[in-house]
Amino acid sequence: MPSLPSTEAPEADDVVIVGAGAGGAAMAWRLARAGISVTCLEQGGWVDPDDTPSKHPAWELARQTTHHPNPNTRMNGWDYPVEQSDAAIKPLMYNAVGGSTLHWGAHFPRFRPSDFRARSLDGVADDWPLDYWDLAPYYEENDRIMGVSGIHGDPGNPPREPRQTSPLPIGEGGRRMAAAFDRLGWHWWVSDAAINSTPYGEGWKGAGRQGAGRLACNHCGPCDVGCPVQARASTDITYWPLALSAGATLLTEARVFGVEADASGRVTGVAFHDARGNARRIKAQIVVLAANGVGTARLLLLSNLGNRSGLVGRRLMHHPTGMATGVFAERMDGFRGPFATSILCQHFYEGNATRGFARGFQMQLVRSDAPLGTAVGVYLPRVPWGAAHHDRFLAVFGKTASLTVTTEDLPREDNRVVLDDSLTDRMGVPAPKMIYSLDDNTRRMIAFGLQRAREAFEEAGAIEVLTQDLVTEAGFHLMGTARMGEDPERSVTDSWNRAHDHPNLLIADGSVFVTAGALNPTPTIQALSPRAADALIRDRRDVRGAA
Amino acid sequence: MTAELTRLLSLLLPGQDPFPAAGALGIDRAILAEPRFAGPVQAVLAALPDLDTLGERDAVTRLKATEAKMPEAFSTLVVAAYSFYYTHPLVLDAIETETGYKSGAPQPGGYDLAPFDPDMLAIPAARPRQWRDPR
Repeated sequence: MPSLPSTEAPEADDVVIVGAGAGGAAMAWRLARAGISVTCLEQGGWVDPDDTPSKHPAWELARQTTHHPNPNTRMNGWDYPVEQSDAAIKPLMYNAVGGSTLHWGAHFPRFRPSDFRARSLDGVADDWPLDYWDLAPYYEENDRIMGVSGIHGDPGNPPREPRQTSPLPIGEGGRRMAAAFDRLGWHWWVSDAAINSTPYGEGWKGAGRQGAGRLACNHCGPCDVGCPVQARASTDITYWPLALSAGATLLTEARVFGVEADASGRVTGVAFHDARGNARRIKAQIVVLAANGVGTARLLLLSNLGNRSGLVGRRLMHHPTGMATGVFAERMDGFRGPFATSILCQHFYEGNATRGFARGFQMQLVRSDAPLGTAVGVYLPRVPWGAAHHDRFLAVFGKTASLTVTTEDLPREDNRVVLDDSLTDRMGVPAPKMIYSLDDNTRRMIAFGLQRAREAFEEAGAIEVLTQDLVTEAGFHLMGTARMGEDPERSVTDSWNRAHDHPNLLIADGSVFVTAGALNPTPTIQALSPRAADALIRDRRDVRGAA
Repeated sequence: MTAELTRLLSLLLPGQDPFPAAGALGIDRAILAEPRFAGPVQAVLAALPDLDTLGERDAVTRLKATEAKMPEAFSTLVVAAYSFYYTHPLVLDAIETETGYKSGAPQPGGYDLAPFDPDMLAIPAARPRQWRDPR
């Protein structure tokens, strides 16, 4: 794709960002717009939005192979392996310009105010060193750049500006479940989604799409394998065109394997392997790590930096998810429409000690799968093989809707990312290992949530309800492995994402999360990142003067 | 190797009008060529050296025992079989016949869906604040 930029790295820059995903892209744009010279190193390359499996009849095969969300299964040359044998939830991520936003469902809720005050309100975990209102203006600006469909006025969340486009269609499954929630007296709202319901945004103008802009969603279904109409936001088509226009430099297929520091504790740059496998170095006044909750911890551990607290890699949090699926007698045709976005029930979100667990969960309606997804078992348990297979397939295909029970994962130091003793990436650099198990609080919360989901489906008229206690391939929200806080002995960064131990090292991804909430983290990552950038801009003399 | 896999595939996914048997689709070589699937599939086949000598009932019994004995590899075999079966044009045509599901690519056509009706929000919009304000 010659029209896409892939520039040569300078020998030094004011700011070097590692990772071009949700947080890195927002940071690059904010700094470049302020006139700060920025270079971003991304270990993957550009993915042409037009080059998607969903344009081919056998597209579902790609979901099981080349476009599988787990890098260990996908085995893409841009990825690194993640040792997962001790992890109850498997890692899902993508390495490319845009990061995991290339493979997401674009469900786009903000954290609630109570998510920043778990200790004060519910006596568990820790409070964040900032609050919802510190982030509110950044949430709004991020919404404008990503483009959010939905409708404001939800009494379940603080007020916000009108959404950029109107709500997406919720489908027959959404209508059924909304009516059921109303009869049960449970609060619901149409989901905020980073997916255009009408054209919005300029999008990526390269790769033959000059002037087309970001079009409206045409409800094809599999957002996760790519969106050729660019209705679904990803940072390669939102932030990166803005950042590059503002002067940012982006180097692709640059695999960072170390952050370097001098004797005083200031970081001096990063070491990386370029596309040809050559080891190189780029110096910087500021280094920003935005390589996700696993990749950033890996780099800090490889570099032996930022770990006075001993918390680098620890407190790994996911969103442990149970799944309930209602089978209806009638067709729902849930393979039509963006798979992850429809309506959201937050009736059980705020903590309530009488329920027998701390904190809460969301129930997110997801639509039903296409044929292979139905058979192999994503939302439903797998359709059994053998003589009865086809009858069972026809009994469920296109007749289901599903509710996630997405829970808040309380931080525990024994859930962690470490460097594996033997596994390496293709350059011989130690790979990360995830060590992760669920606690009893989470198990009780999932069990409670699945019972509520069953009630909702029965109220909606489902003829059968099937549940899964834990979706194991659900490690798409990687949080907590370099938490922020005021105390350098109990946290890795301060409230402006700066490493306590290294004043010119920042972290701009889910690693800094103090708690996980029970909501998709990307809007919060993308609100934190430009806020941290603004602090750098305010201290601009430090950036320029530290050479 | 492929003859044994063909038999195995048809035990997993037998023919039932209008669905073809998996073993009749010529997908065995593609399965063995896929890096994710090749190793586990070969491991299962190696554990079933006499499959072609067994009648159908005994073969199914043997498969179930093998599934219990090596669940991870067998699960990957099932994913492999389903993956190539449910993306084969003849199977997609059969699904279209039975359900009306469009067997072509989702893009560029997409699907028509009725727009969201904001009147549906009348009940939730009338509720008092549902979130805690820690300030």
